[in-house]
Amino acid sequence: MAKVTLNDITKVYHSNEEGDVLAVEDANVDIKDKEFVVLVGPSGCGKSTTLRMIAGLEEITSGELYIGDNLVNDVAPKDRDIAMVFQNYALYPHMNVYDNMAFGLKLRKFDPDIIDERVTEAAKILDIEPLLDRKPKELSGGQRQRVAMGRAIVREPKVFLMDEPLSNLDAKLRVQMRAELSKLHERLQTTTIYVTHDQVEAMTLADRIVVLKDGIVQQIDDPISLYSEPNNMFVGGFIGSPAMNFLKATIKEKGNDLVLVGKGDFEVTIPDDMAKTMKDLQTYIDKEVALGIRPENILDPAVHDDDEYDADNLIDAQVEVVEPMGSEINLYLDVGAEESIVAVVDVNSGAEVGDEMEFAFDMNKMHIFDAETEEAII
Amino acid sequence: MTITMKDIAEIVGVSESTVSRAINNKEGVGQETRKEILKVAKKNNFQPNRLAQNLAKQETNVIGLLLPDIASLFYSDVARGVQDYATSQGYQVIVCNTDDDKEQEVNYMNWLQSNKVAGMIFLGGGLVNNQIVKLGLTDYPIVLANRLVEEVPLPSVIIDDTIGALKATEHLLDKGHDRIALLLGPNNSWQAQNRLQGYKRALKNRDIEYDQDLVIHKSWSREGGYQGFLELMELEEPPRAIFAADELMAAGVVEAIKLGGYFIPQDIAVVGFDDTVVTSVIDPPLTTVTRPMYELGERSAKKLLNLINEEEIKEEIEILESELIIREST
Repeated sequence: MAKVTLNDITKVYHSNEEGDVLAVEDANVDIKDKEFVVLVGPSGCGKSTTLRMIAGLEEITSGELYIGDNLVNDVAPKDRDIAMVFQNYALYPHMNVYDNMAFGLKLRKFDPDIIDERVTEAAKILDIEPLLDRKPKELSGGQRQRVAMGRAIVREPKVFLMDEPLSNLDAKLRVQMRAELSKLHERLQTTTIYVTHDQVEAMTLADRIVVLKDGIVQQIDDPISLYSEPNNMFVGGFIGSPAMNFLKATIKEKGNDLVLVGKGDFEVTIPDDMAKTMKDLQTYIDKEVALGIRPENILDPAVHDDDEYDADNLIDAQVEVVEPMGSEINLYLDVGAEESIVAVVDVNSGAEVGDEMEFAFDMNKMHIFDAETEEAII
Repeated sequence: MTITMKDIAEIVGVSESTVSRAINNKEGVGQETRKEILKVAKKNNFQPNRLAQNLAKQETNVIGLLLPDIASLFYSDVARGVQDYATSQGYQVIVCNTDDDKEQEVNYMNWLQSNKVAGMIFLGGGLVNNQIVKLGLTDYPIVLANRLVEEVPLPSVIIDDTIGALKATEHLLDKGHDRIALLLGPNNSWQAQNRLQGYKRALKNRDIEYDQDLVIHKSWSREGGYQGFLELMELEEPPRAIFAADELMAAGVVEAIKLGGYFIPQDIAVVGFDDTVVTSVIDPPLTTVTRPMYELGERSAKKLLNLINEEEIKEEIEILESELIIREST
């Protein structure tokens, strides 16, 4: 087991047609020993490229990569002591489960007794012991995925690298395997770097999440902090579903308070203690900012007691779409000035399409971002 | 004067692109039209301009075959299969001997790619290196022939060795032997373990207990076969059937049996492995497992050309089975 350190890692692809393409820029990530770190971001954000540089499948253009205390930029992949699990995996149809897990060790000429010990142990961990004699065609999708995991486990690597390993499974199985991966990591405690575009997977699996966009690391944090304290509008919008709402607003002084005046003519007050902690806020007075509010922090007063919301921070909105989700309802609201937001409210909200209603913003949970740089104001 | 696609288009009364699709065996041309176009092309001895085709694709009509050593009888048979199929489809083959050296292999890969070779077949040589995994993660056409990969599925054609060993053992069981010796190379060799597995499976299928004393690991050589036989003769009850799971070992066993004054198959039955020039000179003619080497080459080349021409391949991993040829040694 080992820590993994990325110092100013950069990847440039040279292409005759398109010139140089910067795929990853100055990535700095310290992954601790035993940590489960998820690289997440939209397609083309550089997450897979980063993983492949760690694997040694891509050359590092500049920067330093350490596994443990060893600089491994120029170390051959086979000597990096890593095991990779990809979304597609090769299970050989003519080999049984045992051999599909064992052939790598056999070809590396491991002692047959050691191979047997490792395969049996991995099968026990993965709960596939009764399947060892079966051929892949006799297995379910989830069982096959476990065999592929088993092949990585028997190598006893210092680090697991996983590139969207669950994306080929159906939704139900994905949820199940996600939980199993968590348990597996709990048990093996092997440092794991996991790539996904699925923010739910990232939130549920990770000790810490690295959010990437356009090859640049946006934020590295534990799931809760990432959700509650996004560094910028991209992270705020990317993590959470439905996504965080953004509204254009101008900060104004009103008596002793600072208020946000929206384009759609709403006015909400920034809580005192928030105004005090945001030391940069004063410089934004009379300037346009972006107000970020998560759908679950927009409250329907009809289903809340008076003390659960602030009657001074109500906004008017017209209900455009009602989406019942079972335990809650998603409301798509027109707040004027061609701005729409989504609110997640209790099923008992009587909202219907076309209703003119008032909603309360839970101001202690809102975010303010610089409209130009899109960075959070702190 | 040579006829062009434009000429054919005029004769048949279709567009030039339809002629191109028909000649290149692409979709989007009706069966009748395709037949008519090919008939006109053949009648007028149409030769597609390979250079122009390849310029458009920016690649050559050459494929690379990387193998450990063409001098090996096994690899030369496979190479022949690759070349015969490739040639029949208008492709040439560059053979690169890697001597099982990773660095040399990577150098050849780079050289072949920089020369715009259309695709590569990697034949034999254990687990693939990560350069091959990396190449496999791009769209570049590659096929693995009897070579295994751990991380990602790559188009492969593989001979299942265990089946050959299973068939050889079953054959001796059918002949009434229930104490069958197995001569193998070193215990940690991949081939040895596969053949042992086939042997064990055959015994298990007939409820015969596996006896470790009957399995001898020596070097993959004539000497190994010879010494293995001597060891077997020291057993309290020496076996009367031997499966020598390698051609050279089989030659050594047969030599030792004869020197000992025994008759094959009356006193001791022998099954060998592989059917090459080595096994062909053994007397009596050897019952042996034959691996479909030529077919391995042919199928690998076919798979690669399918990939190059962006045609769908039926199975990502194709498995070929070994057969047993029954002659006079059993």
